Amino acid sequence: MTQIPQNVVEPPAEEPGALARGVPGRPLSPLSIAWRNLRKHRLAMVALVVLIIMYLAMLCDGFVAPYPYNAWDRQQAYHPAWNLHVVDAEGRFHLRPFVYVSHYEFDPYRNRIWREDTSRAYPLKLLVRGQTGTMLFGLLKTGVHLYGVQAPARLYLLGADWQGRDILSRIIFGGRVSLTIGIVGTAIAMIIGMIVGGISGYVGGAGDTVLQRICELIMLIPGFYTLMILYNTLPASLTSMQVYFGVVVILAFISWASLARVIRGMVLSVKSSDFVMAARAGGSSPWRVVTRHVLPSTFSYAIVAASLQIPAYILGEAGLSVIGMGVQEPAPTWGNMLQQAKSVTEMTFHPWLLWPGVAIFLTVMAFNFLGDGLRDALDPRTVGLKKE
Amino acid sequence: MPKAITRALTVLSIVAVLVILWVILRSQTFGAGGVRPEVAGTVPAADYKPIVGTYGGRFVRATVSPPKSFNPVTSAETSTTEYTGYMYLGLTKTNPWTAEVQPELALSWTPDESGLVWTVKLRPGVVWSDGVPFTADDVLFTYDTTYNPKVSSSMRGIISGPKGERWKLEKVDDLTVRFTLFDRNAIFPLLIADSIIPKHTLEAVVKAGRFNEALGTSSSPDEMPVTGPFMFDNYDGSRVILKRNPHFYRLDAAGNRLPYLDEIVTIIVPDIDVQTLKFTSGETDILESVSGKDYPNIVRPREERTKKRPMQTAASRPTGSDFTVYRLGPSFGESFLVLNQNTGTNPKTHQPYVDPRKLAWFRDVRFRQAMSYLMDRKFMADGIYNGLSYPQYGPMSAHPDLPLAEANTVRFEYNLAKARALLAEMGLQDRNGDGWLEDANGLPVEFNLTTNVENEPRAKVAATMAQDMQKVGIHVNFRAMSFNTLITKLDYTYDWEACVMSLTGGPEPAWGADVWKSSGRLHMWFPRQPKPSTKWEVKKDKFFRLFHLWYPLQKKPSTKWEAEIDECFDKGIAELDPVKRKAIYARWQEIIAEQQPFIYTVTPENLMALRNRFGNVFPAPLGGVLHNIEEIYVKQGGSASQAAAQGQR
Repeated sequence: MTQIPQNVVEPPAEEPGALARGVPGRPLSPLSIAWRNLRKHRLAMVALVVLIIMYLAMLCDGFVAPYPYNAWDRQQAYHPAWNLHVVDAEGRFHLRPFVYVSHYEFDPYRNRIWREDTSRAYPLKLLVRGQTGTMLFGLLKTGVHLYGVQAPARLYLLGADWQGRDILSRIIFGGRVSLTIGIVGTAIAMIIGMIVGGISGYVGGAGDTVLQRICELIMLIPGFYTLMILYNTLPASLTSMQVYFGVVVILAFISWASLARVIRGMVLSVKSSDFVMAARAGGSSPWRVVTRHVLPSTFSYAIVAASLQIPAYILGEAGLSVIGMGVQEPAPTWGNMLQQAKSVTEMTFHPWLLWPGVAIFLTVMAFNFLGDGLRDALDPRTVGLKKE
Repeated sequence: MPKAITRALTVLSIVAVLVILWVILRSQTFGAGGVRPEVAGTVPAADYKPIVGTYGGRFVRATVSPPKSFNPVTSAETSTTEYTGYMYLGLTKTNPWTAEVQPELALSWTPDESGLVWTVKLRPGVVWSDGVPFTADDVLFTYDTTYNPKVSSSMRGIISGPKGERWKLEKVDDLTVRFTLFDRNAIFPLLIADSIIPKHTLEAVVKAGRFNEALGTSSSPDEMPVTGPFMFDNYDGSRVILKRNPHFYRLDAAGNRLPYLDEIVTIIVPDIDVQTLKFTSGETDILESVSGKDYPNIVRPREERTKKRPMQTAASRPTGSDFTVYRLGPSFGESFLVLNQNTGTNPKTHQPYVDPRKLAWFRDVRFRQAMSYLMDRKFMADGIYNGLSYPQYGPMSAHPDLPLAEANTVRFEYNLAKARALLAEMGLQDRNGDGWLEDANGLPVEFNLTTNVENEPRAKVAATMAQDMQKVGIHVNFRAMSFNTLITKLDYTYDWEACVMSLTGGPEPAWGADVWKSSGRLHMWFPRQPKPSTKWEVKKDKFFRLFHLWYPLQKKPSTKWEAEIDECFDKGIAELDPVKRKAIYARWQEIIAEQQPFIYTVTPENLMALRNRFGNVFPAPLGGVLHNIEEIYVKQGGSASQAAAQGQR
């Protein structure tokens, strides 16, 4: 997702609305106009900022997260959320927040009763040395974390799961899968969809019929069951990275067909428009017509569709993981983390296991708002004519 | 501007959702006030003194899988036996405290000196629920039907010899049957605990060849006379109703005919969560097999619901603590790790089922013992079952009361250092300093671990052991798969490496012959082994040795300890002297505990919850809370949920 804003990060030097007002000078490129329109869409901008923060955190996961994703501590199973204090046992206020070491015992009803050892406080520190984690998809190793506390104390801002692993760290690391699966999957589906839709729409005739029937066949199959069947065909010896790509390909496989159909529709409508006719009458080759006139017209749709499709991948991965199929433990994804919160008991007694759901909710909302904003911004009918 | 308002509202709603979530997630105590249900254990066998109860009332329970049939001969699934157990009696039954065999329809069973001929005296005065007397003819008919090749019976294989030998039954008189067995069988009294079916209604059905479909879910109650305390009344797809059998043979101390209850109603529900909800809302009277994970939820304090719900009448309002949770000790469903030791090759691809490098580890007892050292059984109990489970090291359930359990077997307690040492002894150690183990050739030590996704505690057990394996430096690829996929691999294609499974055992080891004998179908680590003495086996062995001298993994017969287990089971079944039998099965437990073909983890506790309005409840460690269902009655006064149940009708 970051690629799209990256292309347009530099806003035009000219005054906004230069072209529309007919001010002489360098004309604005369509992308600059789109960016200008997008900036007016406040909700989309908020969504964009949220997404940029999330993706940055995901890229620097080993640094931002206080613990590596598989750092378990079985004595801290189901540690409740937020153990940061500012007032100590004697009632004194400290400016620097701190944590206590804590442990649990079962009461007769098998509830975990947590007790804190208040004899020593472990202050929250910035840039602390801790367990070595990886960042940038495992390319870089880092022993330094943005914040943390000194061992043996552990920081649980969002609580711990059944193995005493920090949920916040796992959410950040889970972004490696959950935040990229949509982009990779959509990219694959887009490529297939644009090729098939473009050929189908521009060539027409028998080829069109055959391709469209194939698309319909794929759309006919109930998606979730196809996912489950395909998942079971993956060999057992795959590593979690390979399973991840398997899941992406499976998800892309069931979603490219609908894209191809819409692209075909757009190509069909663009094909008979005046500027394409003009280009053809002017003697342009079919290749030039398609690449310079037809596909660019579908491009705005493609970007919007992509940003609206990404949530579907995130939810698809979560759905697959919640039923236990998908990227497996201990590698975290937001879906397989949510799987732990599936039962009534877990939701009642350890509600902090639901935090990955909040991450999914935020990301899906952000992508939807951004998609909305992009649709308005890229709509060719409004480009350059947007209200001041 | 409406658009701005919508946007503002959206942002506000997101903030509101987040704030609410934060408040929820921060709250750690809740349900303050209210009443917790009582928690009770089992009662000692000496305290089992039922009192005279009162007639009437119904017992409502819920189950997840709908019944496929009510035929006790053709169906052995729980979805059938949970009803037929109340409908059809066997000749014997097991004591719910000690697992001893007790009289039911038979009064006595005595072997002759050879141990082959057993004379069984039947209980006089027993009648079927339609008034026809129960006689020796019904017993003969039941075994004829079981042996009938047209009838699909699960029992037939168990009571037939390897060459298809059968038991011969003779009717001595109306109340005496003589069984002539083909070999000595120590568990004969247990085998005849199977349901006896009525000859007078089913003889014509068997002759017509329609027995497999008989006693189905659409049969009428008149076709199913029973000897048990309850008989079939109605099944409409959503609930099964069993009603009182007025001709049941047992009387209470005052001479009243049992059972006391009018009906047992079973509601079919989609899943265990709904089952739990139905119980906590007061709709059902019992919650069977509570998981330790859900225990805090079951025993949490419940508010007495007062005037807040006008829809509920005073009578139907469940009060907070109208039920008791029973802790019944270890169950019989323990999880274990099993490593594939199959030395065979796939007949289609001519590839070995298991990579020879890995097979060599799996067949090395040191490797299996190292795996047993890696089981953090304390955490498995605490983290997965909230401490409500028992560590297990050997093949018999952790139950203290089992007559044949052997206490002094070797135990491999959680110890990473000892595991590392054993692996190093095998030559598996970290050779290049990367923290992971390598074998002598410098290749990494890795294997695939699997289990089925449906069983969440089992998947957690597997995840826990995978962590410890990784900690000592073994690359474990853990991936759960669907149950059917897994069973196909275990049972047919054999292309698996390590797997976490569980089997439902019982107090009698001889029942597990299919698991423990090397020829067994459920002998998971190397099933269906041909007999070591088979000529074909030897020939092939020599043939391969001629051409593949370097290939270390020939088709070997059972290793020595496996042969000894086979021997234990062959001897154990034929030994009628209980002391010698115990010694034989003790040896078997020693071998398994040492060789670790199944690497046991933990056994969950058997937990049940039952409403307090029932009398004569005597929870037993092996029989649960309903073993004396015919004596259970509704206590006067405490009829709140009784009224609720009546109201639903």
